[in-house]
Amino acid sequence: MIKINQLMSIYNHKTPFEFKALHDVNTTFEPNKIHGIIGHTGSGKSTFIQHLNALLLPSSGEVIIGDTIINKKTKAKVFHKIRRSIGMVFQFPENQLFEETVMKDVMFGPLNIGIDEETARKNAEKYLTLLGIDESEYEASPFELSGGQMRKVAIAGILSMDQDTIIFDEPTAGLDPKSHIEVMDLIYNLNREHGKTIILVSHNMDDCYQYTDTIKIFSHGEIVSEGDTVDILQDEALLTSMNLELPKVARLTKDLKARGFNPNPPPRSTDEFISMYDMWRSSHAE
Amino acid sequence: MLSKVLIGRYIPGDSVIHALDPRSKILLTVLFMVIVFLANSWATYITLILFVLIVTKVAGLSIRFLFDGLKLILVLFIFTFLMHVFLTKGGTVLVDGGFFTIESEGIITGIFITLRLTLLVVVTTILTLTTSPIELTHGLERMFQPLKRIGFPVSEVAMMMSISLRFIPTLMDETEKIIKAQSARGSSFRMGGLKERFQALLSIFIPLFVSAFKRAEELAVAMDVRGYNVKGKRTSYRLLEWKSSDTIAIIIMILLAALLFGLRAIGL
Repeated sequence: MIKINQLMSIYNHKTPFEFKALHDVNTTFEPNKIHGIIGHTGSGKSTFIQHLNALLLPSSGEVIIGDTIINKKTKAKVFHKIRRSIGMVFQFPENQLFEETVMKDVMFGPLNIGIDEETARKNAEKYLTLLGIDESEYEASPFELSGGQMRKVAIAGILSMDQDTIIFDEPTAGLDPKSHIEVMDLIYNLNREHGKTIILVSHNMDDCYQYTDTIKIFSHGEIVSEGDTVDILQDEALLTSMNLELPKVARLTKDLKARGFNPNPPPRSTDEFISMYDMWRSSHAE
Repeated sequence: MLSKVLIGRYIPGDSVIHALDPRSKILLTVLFMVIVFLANSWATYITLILFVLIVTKVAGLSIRFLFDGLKLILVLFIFTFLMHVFLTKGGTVLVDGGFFTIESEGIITGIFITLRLTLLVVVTTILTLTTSPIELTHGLERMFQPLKRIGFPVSEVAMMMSISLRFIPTLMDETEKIIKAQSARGSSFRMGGLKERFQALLSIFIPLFVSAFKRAEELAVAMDVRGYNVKGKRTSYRLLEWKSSDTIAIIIMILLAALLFGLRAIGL
């Protein structure tokens, strides 16, 4: 369980560049769920997630992770403990690759946090396989891979540290459609099959609707709305007021309601929508 | 951490200092640097400090903020000060520690040299804080124009300078991002043995170089596409204009030099 109390974050405090990125954020993340975070650029979501694994320390307020409290005075020693329980996949994670081989790069994280060599290798193999990286590529240079492959290797580099909670910041930005689906499916499986808690920052309303359990909307450094994904992302009035769009599937379902198509629970993905719609049509034809 | 670095930063403003022609500001800075070396006594140093404080005020910069920026080179200051305290001899012996002595001349010279360094750093910081990098290179380009006659590629060097200046903040942001990404992977150059620390540094520098080269290549292509040509005659959107305020500023600086000569002459 991650709990955030009155978190405030100020950049460049007491300089001409001072900027208040977060003011008074209070929320919780329940374990074993996929939590979506949405909001416009500059709404404070990137700053917020960096507080969750102590890459930034609160200007005031606190972040509680399990039994560890992060506040203004948290010392560097505690960081290691936090990073062992929360992993962070940054935007464009392929920019952090640096080792000679794929295998070495993926094992860098686990070895850093004190996992022994054998387990580190096992973890690396497990997650590289999960991400569809072939064994023949383990000894290749990460810089020889394609963009999509590099992204996957970088993600494996975080996952192999085997934390309970993983934060993904725009994990599909700039990916081709095929890799996009693969990465999103992986994130979903990490939660449903491997029991990880996922925090997903995304601009993609359709992904959020399809894959997340809860949603928090950030605006101007605050959480303006939070709750179950189905409730929040179907609330057209709320989304419009935030200048956000209804997910495509939600929009279609809503439009077809007038014709009597009102499935419960509503479809969340294109595939679900098509099969539900087909069923509804054929039952109507009779 | 990196955001504290003031050198090379620019704070937009509408003060008299901001409005000066970059050429005169560069000239003034160079003049002041020469004047700093004229100071050799309490009276002369205090005059210079007062002058810098007034300039800071006029430029609308906060003094506290300026000194915050100086903190980074504090080590250099302390080192210079201590060198003088222990190594310069003369005057009365204040401390006699057997194998070393601290003498009054040493302390005074230490203070003077540290003040001199501070003044030099502060005045150049004021220059960069009040002049945008573009203006600065533009000013330099114009000032070195005569060198073109002897075949020195002034415009190209200016272009290279403005590109480097333009990318300093970008690279700093990039560095910060990479440091964060690697920290999230448990890498730390503050802890662990020599090997781990070296590894941690590599994990930052390699991605940084990779992205810098990528950026350079993209920029080169973008410039090519827009028809950048070394031999082309380039005009400028912003024209530099020498105003009466620039002349007045130079006169003030000359008066300051005269004042210092005066103070020295009467033995203050």
